[in-house]
Amino acid sequence: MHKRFPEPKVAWRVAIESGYTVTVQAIYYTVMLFMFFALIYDFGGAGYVATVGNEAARLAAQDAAKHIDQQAFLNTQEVRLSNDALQRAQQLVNSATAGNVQITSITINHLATRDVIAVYGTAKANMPVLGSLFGMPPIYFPIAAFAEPAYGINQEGQ
Amino acid sequence: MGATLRHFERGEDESFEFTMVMSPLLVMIVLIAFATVARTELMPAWTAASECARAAVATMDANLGRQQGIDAALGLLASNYVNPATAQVNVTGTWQPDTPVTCSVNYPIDVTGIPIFAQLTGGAIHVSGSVTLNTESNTSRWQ
Repeated sequence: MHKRFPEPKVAWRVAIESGYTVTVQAIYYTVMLFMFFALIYDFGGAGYVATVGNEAARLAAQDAAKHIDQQAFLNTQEVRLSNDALQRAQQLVNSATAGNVQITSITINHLATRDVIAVYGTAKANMPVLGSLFGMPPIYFPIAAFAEPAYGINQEGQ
Repeated sequence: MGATLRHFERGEDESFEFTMVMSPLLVMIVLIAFATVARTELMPAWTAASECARAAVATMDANLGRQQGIDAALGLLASNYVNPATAQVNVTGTWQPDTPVTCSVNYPIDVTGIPIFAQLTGGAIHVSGSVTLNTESNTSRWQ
């Protein structure tokens, strides 16, 4: 059997195939760059939401630390959160994060030498680009923050 | 068809193809540049508002609280390489015990280096952050 050499390409085929290659490359690079953009935009936003969520929870913990149940302390000498602590914390993070953070619990951990207020919740990060194109669901981040009860101030200057 | 004309038309084809290929790539690069700048510049706005609110509620004096808040916000923006002169810091509240004090921070992001966005936005995109905290309740007489 004779070895067959490939048929020499004619000029029009070379022209078409070279154009096709460039087109494929252009589509490939465009898609790749778009994916980079989507990752930067969406996951950059997710990182922002996670950071802001944690910081907002820290603010909520500090706020709760300033509003412990005074009557309960006077009666029992125990540090307890006020009855509306969860609602108050949720209200605070709502105003700070546009409703992206859900506080699931706020408690006081009674340790041997001190009391620590713990705030737990989840932060929801939407995926505006990847979600709208590929139906990617929002990402939920667990958040936690801690603070110690403060004795507050009675007058200016303290 | 003469050789010159063929050569000219081939050049046109190649220019058209080059434009068609480069346009989406350039658009994508511009989008990436915008996303990188915008995402990076968002955080200082919220953090400045947060620090502003924390500083503002640390006193019961309205004037002092407002000034403390503004100083804290501008200081934080400066430390994040945001020009404080371009920022607007607004602190509102009554500074009565256990009442809300809201701190809003707004400043422009410079996008003059990003071609398409620079023309579309006039060279700046405004970002803002707002945080509300309550002043002290003055219920701390532990007897």
